[in-house]
Amino acid sequence: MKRFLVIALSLLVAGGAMAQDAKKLVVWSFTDELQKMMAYYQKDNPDVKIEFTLVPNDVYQSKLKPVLQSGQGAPDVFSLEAGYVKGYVGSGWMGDLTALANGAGKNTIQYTKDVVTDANGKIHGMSWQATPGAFFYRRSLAKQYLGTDDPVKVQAMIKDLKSFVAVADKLKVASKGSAVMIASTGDLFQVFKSGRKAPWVVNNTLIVDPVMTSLLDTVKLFHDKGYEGRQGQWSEGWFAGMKGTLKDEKSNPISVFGYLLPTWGLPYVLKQNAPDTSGDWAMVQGPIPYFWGGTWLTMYSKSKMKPEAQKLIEYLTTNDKFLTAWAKDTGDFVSKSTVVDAIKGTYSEAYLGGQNHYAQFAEMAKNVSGKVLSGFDQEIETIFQEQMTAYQNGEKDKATAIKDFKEGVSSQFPDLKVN
Amino acid sequence: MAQSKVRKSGQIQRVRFDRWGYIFITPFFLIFLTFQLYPILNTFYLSFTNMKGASTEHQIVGLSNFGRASQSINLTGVEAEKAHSLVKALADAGITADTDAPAPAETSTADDPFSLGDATTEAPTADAGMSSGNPDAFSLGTETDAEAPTGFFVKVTGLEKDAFDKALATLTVAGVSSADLTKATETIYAGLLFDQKFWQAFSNTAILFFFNFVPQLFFALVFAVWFTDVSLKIRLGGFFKTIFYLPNIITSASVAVLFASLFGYPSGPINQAAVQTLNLPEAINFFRSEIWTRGIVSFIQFWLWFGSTIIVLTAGILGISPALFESAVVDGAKPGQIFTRITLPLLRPIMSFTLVTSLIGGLQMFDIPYLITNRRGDPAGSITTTAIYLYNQAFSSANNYSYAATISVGMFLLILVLAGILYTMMRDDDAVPKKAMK
Repeated sequence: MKRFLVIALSLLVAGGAMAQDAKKLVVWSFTDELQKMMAYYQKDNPDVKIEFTLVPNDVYQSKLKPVLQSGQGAPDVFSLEAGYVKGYVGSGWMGDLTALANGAGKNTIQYTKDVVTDANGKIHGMSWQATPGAFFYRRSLAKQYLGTDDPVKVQAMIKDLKSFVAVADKLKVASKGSAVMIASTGDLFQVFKSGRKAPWVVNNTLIVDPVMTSLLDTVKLFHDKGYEGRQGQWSEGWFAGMKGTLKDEKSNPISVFGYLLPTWGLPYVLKQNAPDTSGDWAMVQGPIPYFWGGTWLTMYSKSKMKPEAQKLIEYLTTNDKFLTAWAKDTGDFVSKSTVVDAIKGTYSEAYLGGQNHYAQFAEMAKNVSGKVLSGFDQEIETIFQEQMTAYQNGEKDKATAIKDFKEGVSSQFPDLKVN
Repeated sequence: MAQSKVRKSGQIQRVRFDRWGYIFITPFFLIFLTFQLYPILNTFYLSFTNMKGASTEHQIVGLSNFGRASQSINLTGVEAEKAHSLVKALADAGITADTDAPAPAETSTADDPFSLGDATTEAPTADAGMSSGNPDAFSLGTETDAEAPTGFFVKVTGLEKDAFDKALATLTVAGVSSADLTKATETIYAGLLFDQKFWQAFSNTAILFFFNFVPQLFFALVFAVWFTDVSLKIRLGGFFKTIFYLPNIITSASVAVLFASLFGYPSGPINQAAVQTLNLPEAINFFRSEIWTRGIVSFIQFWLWFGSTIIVLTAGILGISPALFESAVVDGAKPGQIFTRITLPLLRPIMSFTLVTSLIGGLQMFDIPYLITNRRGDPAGSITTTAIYLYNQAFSSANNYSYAATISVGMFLLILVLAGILYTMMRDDDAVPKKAMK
């Protein structure tokens, strides 16, 4: 028995000692994009040892929070997504990157820095990307029902919400109901979300911005009038709409005119899921400027390898050579405006029928405000979307939907003031 | 160690093989103590604390997570100026009050980057999409809902006894009449016992469990009897048992995705088939209906687990002496009589085992209802099980660890009571009076 204990203890000690010996930069992320980036970094810095851990998105936060709290096995560099990044900004877990952001990152698009700026003006993270949103539409459908597929003319037709609705109606009438403006009412969510004046939570109080009540009206209208494809976002039918293979329950084909997607929607959603429709797409701003998603990099405030961590973040978010290569290889829209300006002239996207999407994104990125995010977004938005769907389907009236939403938030976040 | 020695006296020392036994079971106990007993005890401990959020600091708060009463005062229809003087008087007494009365000009919140007032001046996102003549890019211009406020409110919630008395005294001094105060005060009960969402979740779980377990037991029993009945001579019995058991080895994530897609709206395969063969006017939105959603989840649980119950019950029936069945047949008993007089009574121990283990498992139902809709158990919270409620309390941005622990303890106690009731009900009746007679 004693011998067993001695062996077990010595194994434990040996294990601990080994972990201390290796000086590796530990990186955690929920996206494999970062894994691909490590390859670029290693090529330029072959002597740095990096241990990359890809944690599934579902469990990312519940794995990350305990290690940040205790400091045991915490990563030196980790990534945070737009849905919750704000909740980490005041936590004290994110190292101060103000010097980097104002130095090498001085040309980084401002809103990406606003998101990770705390109450004292300190910046705690950096992002390699900016994610302004656009409206992607099918050229063939535009020609057929609107008489033109010219992006300038189409944009003029859908320049605000009212005209967007008018075009939806025109599509419905001209196609006798077989063409819908969007695949899912859920697609409208991000647009309205970015249009709010206040985040969900201000001074620990829940705010239901009037824009969100307008969203309820709008989805109800789209649903009742049949301007949408009745699909759930990210569902099979939603993707089928991109491919042009969507059918309704009576097996009648339904064509979806367009998708509201941000920068990453082009390489990671459209191109990957609907490669056969290449060339039949075009991109415009759509009714309202917005942004959707984004990933931020930060270092752990108690990391023992802060200089190395900062060097990695600096490389991934500000290095001209890397950002240029990344933009060329993946089509991602990078956040450094000087890099964007240098490369935006060279783009001609075959998938979009030769449009220069990069130059357009560069314009759209100027209209984005990062101040509408809060650390509660992920849960609050799921709760809101449930009530939005219930109201849209006529399960309850608007007042009840808003009341139930507030009750849901208050139960999930008992410390928030909900009026 | 394991040697027997003969002592001088000739007495034989006991062979100490038992020590090896302890050594063999040590790993189990070490793992049990670290990964099961310690977390369980810690959960009980946490349920008496107020730990939440990013920090692990906490205080012991006794039983208040389970149930607490607090006072609230809610004065309505107060004039703006009066509201502010009341809030100020309360603040001087150390009590934070809320009001919706517009703040006097000198108190500015402009230093807060997220304040509402500040953002109005710099909202390029809203303005950029505006067309001339359209006052608001996000409005469809169809309706205006302006409500004229009839005075403002002053509200204090969650007051303990001392603070409540102090607040009452302060407000009386500030000139609020005692009649108004009586009208405005209210006792609010909170905590697990008074948490409607918890009881709703518990009843959801019970409903899902009931509609999964009753058919499960019925079908498992029927199949187990058929498979073991020698006179039926069922061919390929092993094959069928394997087929019935197969769903159990698929991961629940795949099952949830499979069913979500099968019952998809509007053009999932089930909807297509239903609409086209039954000539329905339009597709059924299964996952917007409480009944359908609960039915689908119960069915999945049934489908996943009845194969495993068949195997347990078959083993139980095979454990009954064949001589009993044979003599019953010889005595001319009908199959129905054999089932009710021999199989069922002798299957009781196995049945009570199945019932109790299924109850424990069923009331902790989590993965299928969590994954099949939006991870909160919607529509309308109809499949929010207690485990989902607990998970969302603990592992969301809120991290209400202490309350999640309280829910856990609540579940533990409820399962304990229910399992106890079942166990008593299923106990062998013959054994009870014998003991009592002694």
